[in-house]
Amino acid sequence: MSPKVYADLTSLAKTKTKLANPPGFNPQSSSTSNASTHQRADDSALRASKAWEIAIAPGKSLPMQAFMAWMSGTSVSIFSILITGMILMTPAKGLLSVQQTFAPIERVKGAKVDLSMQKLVFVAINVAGILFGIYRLSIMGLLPTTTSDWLAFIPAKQHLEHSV
Amino acid sequence: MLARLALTALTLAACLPGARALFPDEAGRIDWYRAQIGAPTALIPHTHNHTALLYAATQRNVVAALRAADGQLAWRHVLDGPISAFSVRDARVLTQSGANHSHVHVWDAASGGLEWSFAQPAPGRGAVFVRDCADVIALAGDALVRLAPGSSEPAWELPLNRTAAYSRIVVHNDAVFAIGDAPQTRSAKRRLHVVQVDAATGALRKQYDTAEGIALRGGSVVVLESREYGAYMVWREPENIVWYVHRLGLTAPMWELYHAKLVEIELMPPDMLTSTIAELDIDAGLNDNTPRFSLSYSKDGKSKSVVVEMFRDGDRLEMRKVASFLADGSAIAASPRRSVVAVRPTDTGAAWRVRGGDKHAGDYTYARSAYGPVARAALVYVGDEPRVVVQTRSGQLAALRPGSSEPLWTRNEALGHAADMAFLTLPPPASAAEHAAKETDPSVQPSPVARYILRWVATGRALVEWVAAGFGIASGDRPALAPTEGDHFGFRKLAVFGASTGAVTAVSSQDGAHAWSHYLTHGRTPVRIERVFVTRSSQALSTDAPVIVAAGRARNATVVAAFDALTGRVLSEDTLPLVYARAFELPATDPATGQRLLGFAVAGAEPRVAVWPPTADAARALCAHTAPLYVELGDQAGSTAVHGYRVACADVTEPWLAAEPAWEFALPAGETLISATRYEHGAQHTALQGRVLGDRSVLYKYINPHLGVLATQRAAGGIAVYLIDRVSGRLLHSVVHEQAVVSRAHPFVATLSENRLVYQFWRGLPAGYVTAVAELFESDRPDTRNESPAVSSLDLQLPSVVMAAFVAPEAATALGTTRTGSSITTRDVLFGLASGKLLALPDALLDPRRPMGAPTKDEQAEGLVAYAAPLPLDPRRVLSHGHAVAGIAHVRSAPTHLESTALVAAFGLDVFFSRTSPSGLFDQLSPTFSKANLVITSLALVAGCLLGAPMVRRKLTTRAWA
Repeated sequence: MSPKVYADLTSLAKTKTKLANPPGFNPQSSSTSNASTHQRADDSALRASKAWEIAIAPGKSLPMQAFMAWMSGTSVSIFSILITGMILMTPAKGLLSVQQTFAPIERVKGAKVDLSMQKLVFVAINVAGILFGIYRLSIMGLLPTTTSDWLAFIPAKQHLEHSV
Repeated sequence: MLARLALTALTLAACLPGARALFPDEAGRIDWYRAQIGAPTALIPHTHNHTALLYAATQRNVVAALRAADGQLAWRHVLDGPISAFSVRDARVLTQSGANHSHVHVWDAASGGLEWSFAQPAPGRGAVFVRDCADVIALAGDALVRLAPGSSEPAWELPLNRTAAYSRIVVHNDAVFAIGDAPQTRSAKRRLHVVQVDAATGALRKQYDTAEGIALRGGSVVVLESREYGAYMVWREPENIVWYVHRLGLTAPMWELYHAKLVEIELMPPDMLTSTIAELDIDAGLNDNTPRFSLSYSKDGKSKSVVVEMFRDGDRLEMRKVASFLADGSAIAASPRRSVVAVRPTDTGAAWRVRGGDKHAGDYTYARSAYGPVARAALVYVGDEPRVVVQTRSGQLAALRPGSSEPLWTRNEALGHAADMAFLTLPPPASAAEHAAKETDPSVQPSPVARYILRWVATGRALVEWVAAGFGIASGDRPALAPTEGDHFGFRKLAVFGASTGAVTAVSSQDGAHAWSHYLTHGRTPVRIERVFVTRSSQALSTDAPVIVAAGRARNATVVAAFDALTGRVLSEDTLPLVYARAFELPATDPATGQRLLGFAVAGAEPRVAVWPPTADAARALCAHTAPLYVELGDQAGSTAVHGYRVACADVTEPWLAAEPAWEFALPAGETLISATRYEHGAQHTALQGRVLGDRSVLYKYINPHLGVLATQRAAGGIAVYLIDRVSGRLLHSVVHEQAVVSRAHPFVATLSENRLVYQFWRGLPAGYVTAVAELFESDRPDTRNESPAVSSLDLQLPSVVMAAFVAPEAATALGTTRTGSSITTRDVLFGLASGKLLALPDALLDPRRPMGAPTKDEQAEGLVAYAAPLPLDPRRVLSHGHAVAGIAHVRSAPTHLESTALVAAFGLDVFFSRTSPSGLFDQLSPTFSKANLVITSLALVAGCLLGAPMVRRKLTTRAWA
């Protein structure tokens, strides 16, 4: 049994006291149905616009990443590895959090906006980022795409005869 | 927490054995070198500046001076051919040597420095000093010459016009006598021919025949030189008991003494018929006025040797006994004093007696089965103490002194005759716990996991004992390791040599410590050992001992002896009634002994392969091997065709298999074979099947274990090199070097490893020695290969060959390639140079793909450097450092347990062992690595964990309450 250390305010609800509107407030201006519809449309456009910004945001960082990649060179060093890692990880994280990224503007107070296109663009740009990262790995020679990468796994040939 | 602590402590404890692996005196010692002289053919004692020296001329064409006190070499020279004359006089040593020509050398006896030399374009037959001056009379071919120091021309030259096969020269006063076997004809019996020449002018004074029925060699005549009384020949008439003493130059009467009294007293007439006579003062300088010789006979189990000296009593020539020895098989030698020594074999080794002047006696206890019976002896005085130097038939020298049966020093000169050597990997040292476990339960199999656990147990016990002992510091005494004890790194192997003197010698590859020896004979003839094999390798704690097999020739038989490699005990000795053309390992094991089978290919009308062990079961075991077996014959020098045979396996009832002709590789007309090269054991193994190019494509290596390289001498000049397949006999590639010259002085040497052939030859000036490299690929196009996992030589494709030639730094007498456990490490090509250096050149320098100009980006990525014709003689790449390893005939390599490191051995005359890491010590800690830091860091981490754990616990509790 926890100690009763707070005031019981439930009685306040029962008073149902009608408070007066503040001076200068016109209830008509904020509760008409036309105004409400108009405001909802504006909100959707705003959110769509905001979503587009979010969708193309990764694309804006691509030139910078490309510049950093170019600066770090194609040799395998700690900097080029770090930068390539960043180039790969950032879009990968973006891809894994598509819903979370758009969630704040997709559904507000139960109103859902269709952001499929934005998401598609967002995914496409991140995929492009990953492709760029893979390209980086490729030109750094870190992708096992050539025969020499699999050379160690080639077994020695068996010779059907024996000579002494 | 406690479990973690215990685990950490145990991990640290596990590091302790590793830290104990190296002793201070082993640090940095990775090689050993032994200068050999070979088995002596003559030993001449001489004291110079109060230093007793023993001068030796040997079967390996070496003239050397050994210090009698410690057996060390005072000086040594390797001559250019067999030594035909050897004498010491007035602080000078005279040698005459050469095969098709002869060189007379006069050396300073103390320093070994060359005083002067003279060359003659004919084989040497003898040379002597002229008394009281430094001139030399030499006989080469058919020309008798007088040579003087400081003159490039002989004082005189006299052609002897082949009137006899001269082989002995005697100089007395103003006369030179050349003695030889007169040519035998139907009318004329065997006899000696003597030519007397004026020593001053070279004018022919007289020539005559004497000593009918006598030949110079064969123990029936001696030539004695007395400074005061002249030179004499003593002989016994064949099948008669009459002795003759002939004064050289005096033909009327022909003999001066007849029926020597002494001879009659010492030897009864029936004994006399079997007697032989031998010179004792092999160098006339030893004894100027009373020359000595020995008479020996052996009959009906009795034997006797009498040493006789000749002297003059007024006008009469007399003989008197110096000493007599009763024994068979004695070796008798004279000293500059009146004393003579006789060494006779006994059950425990040998017994020696000095008689004549001094009287001394002693024994030499040694195992005759290890070194063979006594072959030669020498008596030398260190101060007034006699030293008896005994040479056994296997080539061992031992110095003895009165009062001790243990030798003062020994030299195992059998190693100087080594024809083959095998590395045996020794089992790693087993811990006491492992031995205890093995003794408790002999069925314990030495699996790596079991051994690892046992090692931990042993380490734990050691740790407890160490703590109980109060953390004491171990004493600095290094436990003595037997040569047959291995190590964890595989550096300590057993190197087993087989020598042409019949000696099998096992030494440690780490330091050359002697493990065991055996003297292999067939009857009383030493077996000329040519091959040594490891037929059963060693395993830790295994009850099956590793086995070494030595095989060699003896008359018309082949002797094969198997030894317990750890003790030297003879397991079996078989005499196969055949003369083999080639001996090799077979790809099967004997079901009875678990040993690798050996094969002996026999040429002739019905070629066959004899199998060892010589049982039909062994032959059947070989036939159970499914792969068809091919063997080629006729690949020895001088051959004009090589024949391949397929071993037939029908109805095997004998320990041999018939060989059916499969192919013939006939050399082009006018060409004869110089040498044939195959892969040495394991040299064809490769870690990567291709070579990665700069653009990351792959050129696939052409790996064919049946590859054979034939080098031939062309009648039109130059040499040709053929690469053939030894299963199908197909020619894979050929190259002609038109300006190459191959001779005894400029040998052709080659080595084959993986897909690379390296060979060296003389190309004349100004090019000098040329090292050619051929690298074989499956195709010249990258990423193109025959994908089939199994290939047959019978439908094999031709390789694509990339070649390059370089200017070699020096003449090479042997080539080899380093070998590592998994062939991941790059291979160094090892050059055994004529100058005695063992040079290791890296793979990259000998790369035939080195670009002619500046390397492109891709070529740089491939690791190629721009081509430069000269191969550098970088002192840092000379493995032998300052040692001059004389007479390198074989360069061998063996892997260790560390992939980075290979053992390297060079032998022929001298023996040199080292180890090398072609790609650096990538799998070892660097010398600067701080183990202390590692331990401190580990302890700090443990302490950090201990300190941090309560804090972390407190924080977690606080967070839970929040």
